[in-house]
Amino acid sequence: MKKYLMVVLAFFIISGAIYADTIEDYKKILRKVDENVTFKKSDLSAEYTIVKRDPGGSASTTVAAMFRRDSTDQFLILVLEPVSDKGKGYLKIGDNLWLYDPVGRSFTFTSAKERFQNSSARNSDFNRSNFSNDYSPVTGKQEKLGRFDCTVLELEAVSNKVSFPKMKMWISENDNLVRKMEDYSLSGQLMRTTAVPSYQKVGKLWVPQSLVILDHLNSKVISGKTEFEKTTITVKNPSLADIPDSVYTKEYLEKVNTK
Amino acid sequence: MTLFLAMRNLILQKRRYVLIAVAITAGFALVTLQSGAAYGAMETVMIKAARYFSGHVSVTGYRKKDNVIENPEAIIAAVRDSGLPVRTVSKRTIYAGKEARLFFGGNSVRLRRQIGFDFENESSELSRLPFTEGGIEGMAGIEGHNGIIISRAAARLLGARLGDDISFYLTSDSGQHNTATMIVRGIFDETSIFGYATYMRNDDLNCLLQRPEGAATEIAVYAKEGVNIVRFAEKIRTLLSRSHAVFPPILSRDDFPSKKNRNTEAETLAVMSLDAHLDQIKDLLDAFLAGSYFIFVVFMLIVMIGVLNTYRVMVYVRTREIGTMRAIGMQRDQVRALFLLEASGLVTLSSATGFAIGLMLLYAAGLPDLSGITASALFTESGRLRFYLSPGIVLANFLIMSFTVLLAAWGPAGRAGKMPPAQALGKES
Repeated sequence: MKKYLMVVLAFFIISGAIYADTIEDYKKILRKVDENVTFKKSDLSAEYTIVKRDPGGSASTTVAAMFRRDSTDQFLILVLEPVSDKGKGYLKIGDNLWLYDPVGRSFTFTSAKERFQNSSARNSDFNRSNFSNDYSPVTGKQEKLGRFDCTVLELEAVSNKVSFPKMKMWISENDNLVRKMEDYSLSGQLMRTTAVPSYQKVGKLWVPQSLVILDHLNSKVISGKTEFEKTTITVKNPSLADIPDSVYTKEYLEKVNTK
Repeated sequence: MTLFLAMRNLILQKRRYVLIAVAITAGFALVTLQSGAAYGAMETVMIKAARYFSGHVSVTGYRKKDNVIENPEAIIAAVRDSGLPVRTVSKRTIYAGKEARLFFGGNSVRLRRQIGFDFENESSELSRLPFTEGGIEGMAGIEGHNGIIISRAAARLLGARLGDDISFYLTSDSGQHNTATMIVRGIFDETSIFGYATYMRNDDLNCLLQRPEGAATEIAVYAKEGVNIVRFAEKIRTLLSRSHAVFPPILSRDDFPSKKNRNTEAETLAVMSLDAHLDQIKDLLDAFLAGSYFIFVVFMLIVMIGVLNTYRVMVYVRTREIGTMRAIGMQRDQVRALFLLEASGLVTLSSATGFAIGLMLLYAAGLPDLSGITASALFTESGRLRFYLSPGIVLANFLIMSFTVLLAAWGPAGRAGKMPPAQALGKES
């Protein structure tokens, strides 16, 4: 009996150790994911084109200029198109995110969890990548996604600052880049699927060339097929050129709109 | 005897009284229509608002910036055992966050207010929702879990029908996204501001918000018929102040300090009557009622002048009759009483006729569908006007009418009584 108990105990200890090692491995993968797309030593600017298509319905396009400083967790997004939204701005400094309305010339405190320009994208999608701090891996497995061999991680949020409490992430093994994400609500319902078909190299790091986000809450069955609200984000002209500090201020948004 | 004579004269002089009778009948019909419609509109608003704002009296708990009542069962028990005229008392969880939405078939609708109600205690009140499909019974038992009741406006925007699975999205207390698939168990007809609410079981809503199953943010207290709501609310506030911290009396929403100014470290209860919730709407209805009574007063003045003139002519024409009555021994007071009794009989019969006509007009006014008129949604039930006339209102209207007619008849009746018999008999007929 004693021998049996010793064997069972040893099994649990070893399993626990293996599990701990595995979880630690997954955390390392997440850190690499963050490192690959975080620009700690320079600013990043790019032109974003966001096309939102309603299920079986019309499409709307937003073009925005994005300026990001990962070292200080700041970004500024300036909407360039459509004309009706031109001059609108999003300014993030630390945990604070403001929305600037050029018509009323006023700033409103908004949330990273809110939709960006009524699309399937969230304001938090424009943040620097911080999966390793915001999420903890629960399980992982290997899976093939198209031509990519991926590690699939199931993640749970460690704080309530993030938009989605649960995620599933496909990370290509050879380059540790996110290829697909599934975002879940607290109740475990799939809310969004994000696919990143391609990346572009900027310096030594990577920026997604395009992203496709499907909103699973907003769907319609058309001709027997389920269509989801789809948002496609295309990132063009990425640049690592230095951006003046004054860009990441409220005054900049106001000044840009008075020109 | 005088009464018998008065009633007999009323019948005999009917041709002379017909115009006044028509005027009084028309006036009473008008005031019946006006007050029935105005009080009916007010009553409709009160009924809708009571469901929306957690009863005739709402008890809301606050601790710092959070809405919470730690021990709702204790408050419910205290109110029930108080001996106050309570019809229903029940806990609710209210979610009024801006992020709540319903999704169905590619459509979505933002919701103003999500009401998590206790089916066992409040279903009798909510069964009075003007359901067009389904009903409150669909929320009962195990099958009622994850059921939702939505307005016809929301159903139309979503393209949803009874039995459809719709996605309900909100953010939890910690700000995280949460969703649930809800089954439409009922659709109620409400296109006013009270329609931007959904009803679900409070344990389901608590689960979505990541709160304990029995948690509550408000207690809904419904009073019995005929209770003065403001006094009732004050009695509840006084009752609860013995065991809880309570805010001072809140007479209107403007009275209540904004969230950031509420410095409540410990749980503090805000007791608000429905009148306080509806102060602006009530002001509007009171103004409408005052306006309609102003028209009634103007009409009364016209009736009064008509009665005065008619009675003057009547007394003149019946001078010999008066002389005869005086000659056979009728006293002055009796002659005056005779004319006043005739007036009383006239106003009673005409008012009764006017009341019957007014009721028919109210019934007719309740037939057309007014839902096409934007502002009507608040005051109508399923697009139709409902009327409300309490015995008190009818009696008050009758007393006003009677007083007007008797006041007008007083002068001529008095002159008739003072007429010397010899002079009266000597007059040419």
